[in-house]
Amino acid sequence: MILAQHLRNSSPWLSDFGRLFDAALRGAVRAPVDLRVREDDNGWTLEADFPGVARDDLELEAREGALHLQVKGDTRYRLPLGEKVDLSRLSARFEDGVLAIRLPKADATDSTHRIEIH
Amino acid sequence: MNDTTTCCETPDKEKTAIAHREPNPDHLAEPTWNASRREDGADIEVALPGVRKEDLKVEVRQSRLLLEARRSQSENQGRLIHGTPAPDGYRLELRLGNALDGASLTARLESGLLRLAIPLVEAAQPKRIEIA
Repeated sequence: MILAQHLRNSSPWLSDFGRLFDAALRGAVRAPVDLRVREDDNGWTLEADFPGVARDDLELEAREGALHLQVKGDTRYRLPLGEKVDLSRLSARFEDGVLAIRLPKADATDSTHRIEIH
Repeated sequence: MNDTTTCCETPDKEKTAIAHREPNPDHLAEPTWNASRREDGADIEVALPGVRKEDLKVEVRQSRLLLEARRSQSENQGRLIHGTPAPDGYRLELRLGNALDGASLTARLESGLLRLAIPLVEAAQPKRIEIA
């Protein structure tokens, strides 16, 4: 698996996330869960299939630098996101059983502080 | 499903055009499904994530159930850095037992999960026998 540099040190979360989706689906249909991560210039999009799951059964929160997802009373999972993701601008969409989470890249200038040398 | 012939002509033509241009045809995956028996019929659940009602075709011909669905593609077409691409759609063919009345099938698609209910043919329906 070739992971982008920014994901290399956090690769375990990807497999954790995969397990989460497996567990979530076990009750409905035995579907292998396939988490897809796409990257573009402005951020990342996580996409996963939840066929048969109602929108109200998904709970998604961003706090303490991590993404928390809970599926209908299932175990709560935590996905550390690191500093490259702008947590204040996360968004998610659930349509036809597909969850898409948008993780915008943090503006590099926000975390760069110029230190004046007097 | 004969009344849907007109609406389905355009996608078919498009598909043919694409097939001529591209060496690889559309990737239609076999969806995950399971079936369970009821006293008066059978229920089939088919996982069709990303499929809208208008992009799903279910047909029963003789004793065969044919299902074809196209999956809506995500708006974000960035570079895939983890996982495998979602299929372009799904295709499933199931043989129905003679006891099942495929013509009376009912289908309901909700949140990417299709639920089919197929009753037993009249002759196979359980009969309650009144005891006098």
